[in-house]
Amino acid sequence: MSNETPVLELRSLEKYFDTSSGLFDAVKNRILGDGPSYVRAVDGVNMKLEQNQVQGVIGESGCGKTTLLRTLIGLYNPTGGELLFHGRPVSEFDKDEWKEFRRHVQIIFQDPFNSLDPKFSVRRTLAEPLEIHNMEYDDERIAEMLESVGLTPPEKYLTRFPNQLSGGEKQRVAIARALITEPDIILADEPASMLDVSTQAEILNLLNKLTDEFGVSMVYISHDLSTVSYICDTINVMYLGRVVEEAPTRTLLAEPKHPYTKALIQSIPIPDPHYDRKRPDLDGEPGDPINMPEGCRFKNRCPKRMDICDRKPLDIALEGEDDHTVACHLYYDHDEVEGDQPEPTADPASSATSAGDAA
Amino acid sequence: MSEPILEFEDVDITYRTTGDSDVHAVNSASFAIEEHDYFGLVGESGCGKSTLADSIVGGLDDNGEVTSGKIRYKGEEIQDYSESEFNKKIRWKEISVIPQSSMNSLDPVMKLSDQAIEMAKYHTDLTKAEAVDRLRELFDVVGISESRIHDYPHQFSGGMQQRTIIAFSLFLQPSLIIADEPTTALDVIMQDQILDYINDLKDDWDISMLMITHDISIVFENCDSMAVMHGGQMAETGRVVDLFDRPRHPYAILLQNAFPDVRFPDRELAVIDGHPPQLLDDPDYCTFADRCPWAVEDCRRGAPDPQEIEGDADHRAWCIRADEMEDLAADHLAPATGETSILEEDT
Amino acid sequence: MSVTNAFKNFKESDYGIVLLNTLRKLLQERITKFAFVCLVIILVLGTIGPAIAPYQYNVQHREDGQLLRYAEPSLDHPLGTNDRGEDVLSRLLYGARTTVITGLLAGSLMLSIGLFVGVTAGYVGGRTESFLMRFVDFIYGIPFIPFAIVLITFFGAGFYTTIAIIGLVLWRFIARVIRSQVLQIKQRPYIMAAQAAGASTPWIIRKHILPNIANMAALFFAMGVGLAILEQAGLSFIGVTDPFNPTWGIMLRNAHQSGRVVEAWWWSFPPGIMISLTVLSLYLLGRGYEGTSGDDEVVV
Repeated sequence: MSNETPVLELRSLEKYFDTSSGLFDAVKNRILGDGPSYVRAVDGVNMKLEQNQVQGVIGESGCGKTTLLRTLIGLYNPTGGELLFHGRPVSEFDKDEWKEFRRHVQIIFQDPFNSLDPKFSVRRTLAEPLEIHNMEYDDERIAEMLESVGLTPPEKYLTRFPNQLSGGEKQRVAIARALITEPDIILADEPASMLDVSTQAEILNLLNKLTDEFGVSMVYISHDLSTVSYICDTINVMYLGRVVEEAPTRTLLAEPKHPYTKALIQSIPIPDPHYDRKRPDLDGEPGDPINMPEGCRFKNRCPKRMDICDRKPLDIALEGEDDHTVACHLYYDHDEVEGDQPEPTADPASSATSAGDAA
Repeated sequence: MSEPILEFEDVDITYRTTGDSDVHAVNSASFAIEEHDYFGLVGESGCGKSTLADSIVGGLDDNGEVTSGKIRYKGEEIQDYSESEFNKKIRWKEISVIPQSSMNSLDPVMKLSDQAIEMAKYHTDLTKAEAVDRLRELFDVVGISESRIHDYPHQFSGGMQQRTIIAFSLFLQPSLIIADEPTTALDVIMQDQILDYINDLKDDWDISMLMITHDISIVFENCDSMAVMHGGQMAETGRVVDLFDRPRHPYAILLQNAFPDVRFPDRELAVIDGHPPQLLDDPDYCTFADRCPWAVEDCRRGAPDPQEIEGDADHRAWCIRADEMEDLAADHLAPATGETSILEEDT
Repeated sequence: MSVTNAFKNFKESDYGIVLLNTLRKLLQERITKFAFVCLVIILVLGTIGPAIAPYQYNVQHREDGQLLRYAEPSLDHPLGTNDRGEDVLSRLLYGARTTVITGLLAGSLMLSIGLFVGVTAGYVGGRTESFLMRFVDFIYGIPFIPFAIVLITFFGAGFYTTIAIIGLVLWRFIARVIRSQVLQIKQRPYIMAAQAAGASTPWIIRKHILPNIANMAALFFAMGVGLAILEQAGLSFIGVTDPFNPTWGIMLRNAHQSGRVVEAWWWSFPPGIMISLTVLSLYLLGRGYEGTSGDDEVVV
């Protein structure tokens, strides 16, 4: 595997869920001539995860980040687009390759209290992935792993059960379980958000250290920009199934472009009573993934809404900054960019009168 | 100085258990909330902050009890009130609660307007129409369309439910509101909106607030005074600005440094080693001693007494080395020097 | 030596630790301890009962050439004799064995079918689940006693036929509960973690689902055993089991039929008390065991 191919690549990945449940809806749709109605939980997401890189995915609850994670790990079949692992599409994988994939892609969950089997001792928890993949191991190896996640002395922890561990210790065990098969990729689903502040810092520092030490890449999903900035190299901001902005962490925090990203950053409370934070002027509730607006999905809450927002914005790299892309009509000249066609479902009348009509 | 609206004086709260040892959830807690003050109470889960809040409205579990000390509300001792006294004199009318999970505190099978009528029936002599009118006004205050007062709670999203709860907590015009982790379950944008509404209440409704949270940044932004708790003991209390500028309890210092600040993504986060204590024996020692980098032998010899911090009014730290802290924790106290915020507006 | 070693190894394995902890917790409460002791005694009686019984259960005792009917308790016959001059204590002890066999066999049968159906339906889901659960509904629709009478008329009244009928019908409640339990556990992140690690479905069921429903299964096994004993007594009482096998139910039936339930109390009371005691102990133990499932409790 060469270092040029990304470890994991998403090409306009889509995961739709059919909301028509059961026979009744199916018949109703057939009679009324409707197609099945979909929740477009992940809708055309592009991402390249390079070797040893940490990509953050940020968004409010319901933005599709958990669905994205489950699709990445192969628990959901994508309904469209492609997922490439070391340059090979996973849709072509046979059974053995899938198993291999599962060894190389591991997951850490948000909730340490439920992500360990209460009937498994720490030793068995760590041994399980090795047994599944028929890997040779001895207690030595498990003890080493425990040490590297900071559970020392390991002998003390080997025979413990989850109910004898604190939240932080559980999360360390979960991290150890994810790392023990020597994966290429770790998918982390807000691993620190349910822990106390003091423990949270510990887990973040540990993840930082381990991704370097083991040379793994990581996709880190969270709703909290302030913790993500400590760990991620690049941040993808997700809104209702689409990535609206992607940039290196510092760039994104310092020069956010998309109105949604700006609002997200401005909403973070600052632990400093002397600091006078400017609150975002943003209305409304987080979008409803079932009835999403056409065009830009953020338009109904956006303080800078224009007529053209009824069309789907393109992912455009900012001038002079290849690694900073934004999907917002504010940031590109619609006459120059090719392929900027109105969505087929959008009302043609509204786009005909809109400001920068490309046609 | 006027009389504080709520005052805790050496309050101990104990839960009896069937096992050998009782749980000493809160030990000699002392603090005071001034009239028209927003007071933040910060600590890790299990530090006793919710127990403390429960004791104010008589909401302790059956096996919990205020074993000593005094809780004064507007000068009157309420720690020994009976259930009916709490109902008659305190709950809703004087002190109302915004709980963490709004889902559980609204009756799911009852229209919101009916819940308001119900509440008016028990606590006021408002007529049905008046009760509905008042709810309508309050919905306006928290920014929900008045037309939705006849909806059921499940028709609302999480953020709207939380705002509804705020509306209900104002229903009987209380003097004090206890907000127990009011925004923990919410996304950051929604949290910001809710806190904005909560902040507006202060002047419009002339209330005081006890805001309980694990998020120190929320307290720093929204409160006037605060207290930090650890392991059932008070760590530090005072004006928010004083605690930020001159923290003198090791836990308060480390907690501040453990908190991520989006302005400084390169800052190293402080780690507090060890776990919160189990509180199974009567703590006649500092419960933070085992985790404290500056602990000395004396810390384990007795529960620390509050030390007044010189130069600040009402600023106290429960640490025997409080006056040495400035030197001991010097490198923790000035982490921000030389750093510049990376945020857009600041540059 | 190897046995002690094996035992020691087991004690230190995960299952061993879990088992020992559960047992320790279980026996903390006095009432469960009492139930546990009762059950052990009944189990022991079931195993060695016939060996310690003073007489054969079907020997008709005579005194002066006369059948010794309705003899009051005495040193020779501590629980007296019945209408055919048989020793009640001996019959009671023989009955313990049939009760234990009935309970364990029928209970295991119920548990195996219930577990299989419940776990499959719960974990696989979809059409399989609908089909299996409709089948359970169908079984629920079977009125037990008439059904048993009809089957026994077909196959003849055998001791094991009764057990089979009990087991084949009464598993239904276990299947339902186990399914809902599996549905819950299936949602836990640790199951997803195992899936993500590449574990196969049988692996997950064996390693994660079954151990985590073990508490529930044990509770329902206990209840199943109790139910089987009760139903067997019921069937015996209405006379649709093997009349020559001395179960406690048959003893009650005989006493009832002789019309001397009240006068010959030493004959009617002991089997009744034994049935109640067994079933009660089983339920108490089950309750107690359910109470120890606090393994999942969060220690912060």
